[in-house]
Amino acid sequence: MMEAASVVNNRERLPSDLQQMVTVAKYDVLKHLRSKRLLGLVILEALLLGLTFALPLLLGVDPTDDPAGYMSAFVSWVEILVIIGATMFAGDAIVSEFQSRTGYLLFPNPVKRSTIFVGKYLSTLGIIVLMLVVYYGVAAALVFAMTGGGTLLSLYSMLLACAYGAAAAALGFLISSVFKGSTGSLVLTFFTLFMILPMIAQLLPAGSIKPWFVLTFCGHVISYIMISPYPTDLVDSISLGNGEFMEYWTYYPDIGGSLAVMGGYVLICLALGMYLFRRKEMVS
Amino acid sequence: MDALDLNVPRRSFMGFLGPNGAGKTTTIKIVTNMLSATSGRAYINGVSVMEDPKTALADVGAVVETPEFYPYLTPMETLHYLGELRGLSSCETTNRGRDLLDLVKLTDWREKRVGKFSKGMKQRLAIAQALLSQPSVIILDEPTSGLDPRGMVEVRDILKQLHKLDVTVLMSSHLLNEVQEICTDVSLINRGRLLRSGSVADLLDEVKARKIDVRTLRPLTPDMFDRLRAVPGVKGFAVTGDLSFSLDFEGEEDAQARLLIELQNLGLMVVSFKESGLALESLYMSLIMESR
Repeated sequence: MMEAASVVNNRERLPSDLQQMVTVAKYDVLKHLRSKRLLGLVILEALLLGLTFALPLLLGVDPTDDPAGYMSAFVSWVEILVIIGATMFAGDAIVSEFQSRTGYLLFPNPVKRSTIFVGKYLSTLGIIVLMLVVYYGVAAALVFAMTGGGTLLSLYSMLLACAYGAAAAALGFLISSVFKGSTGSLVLTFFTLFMILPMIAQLLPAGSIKPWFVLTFCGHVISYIMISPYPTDLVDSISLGNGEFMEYWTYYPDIGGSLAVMGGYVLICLALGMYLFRRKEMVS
Repeated sequence: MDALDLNVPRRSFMGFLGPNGAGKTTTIKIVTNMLSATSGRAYINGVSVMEDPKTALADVGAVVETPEFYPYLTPMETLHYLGELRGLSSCETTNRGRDLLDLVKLTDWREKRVGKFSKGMKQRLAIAQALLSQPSVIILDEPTSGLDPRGMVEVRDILKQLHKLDVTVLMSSHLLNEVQEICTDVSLINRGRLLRSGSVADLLDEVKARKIDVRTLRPLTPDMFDRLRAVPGVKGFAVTGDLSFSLDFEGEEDAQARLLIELQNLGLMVVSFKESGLALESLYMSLIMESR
């Protein structure tokens, strides 16, 4: 078992960066699949689906026959699901290697940090997509059971949700590359997506500025796409008395622009996060 | 680090010694691409770690500090993960992993998740993963640190077996007896500077006075003291227990052999007669003091 080592040429058999990326992603997916976090999220999905389906029935409310309208009730939960998923699976993806000292095992191996980073991101993205596919799949089945039909809009909504998940996860990876502790990273990821960005998106219209560049604002396309026709920006006015009126805008994200913004978040956050991860030193 | 110039000869087992804060772990982290050096270069088998870490580390197995393992993986899965990153086939990893887990006495635990392993078990698994790809260079950072006595003995036994391989080993430690027992070469550093480097035998030759620990079946009584002092080469002695004492001795191996005969002639009935690691300690301490 302890035979001479010289016969093995470890350099020649070293896999390519792409192959190593797949390996990192594969074992990271295994981590998620065996984690209690995924179980928790599955339970949450089941609760949301169950409540959305059963509550109107229990309260004696007549459900709509329109598949798109019925599906909207399920889709309304998706943004929060994505935020929770991004927090759980991306919020400490990088920092945990340092805090839990597993980096001491992984980093001395002949693998580039960028390979590890992208591999982990792909696994997180894979889990978020899986989570969304399951959610939309069950929701579509329930819609079919109740209305006898379905809508293509739910597929578009799911694709937009996947894009939002990709951007939210990228933001989580960036935050995770900055922080030194998992808790801080998880908390900031969650509050950035759940409170900070939505607050900015709420305040900007007061200055007649459309928050098209705010990720969570763009995420609303997931729900708005279920509305037909798709809503457009509108201006309204409130009476202030004395014959004076104040105009205010209600903005809606446009689909193409939102997809571009989400893509921008993915590229910028991943590039910055990878740069920080490569420079981050493994110290006790 | 302060202009450290360290060369580890091929096929040597080099002990890397220094007090806490001397820069041992920092050096090892730079060599294994965990820290970036502000200046300078590090090469492994002629490849720059700074410029091409992937190629440089391809033929390196390392245990840096006490690594943590992914708690959701079993030892065998961990070896498969790291083996796959290094291009080992699944079959090869399985076969080699089985042998290595046997070597580090973790066979019974190979399908259990690592989450609840003790520190000693994790350290043994860390050594197994470092040997997985049969690297030509092995880097170990205080491999027995934090282990209980049994764990230390087990890890040392594994390290001794590395002598049978065609490998170059760099092992940091602050346990001088460990280095003297296991290593062929030694480098001493303090405050990031190299103080001395060479073979253990050459360095020990620099220290003329050797410490010899003796255990006997009969006690060393005061009436024997003068006779003991009169033995050629004996510079002093200290009684360390009812049936043990240590000698300060100057002389080569033939003189040591004569000393043993003299001790038997005293009627002490010698049970063990062993040069202690304190010789290296003397050199170490004097070099550390000089460097201040």
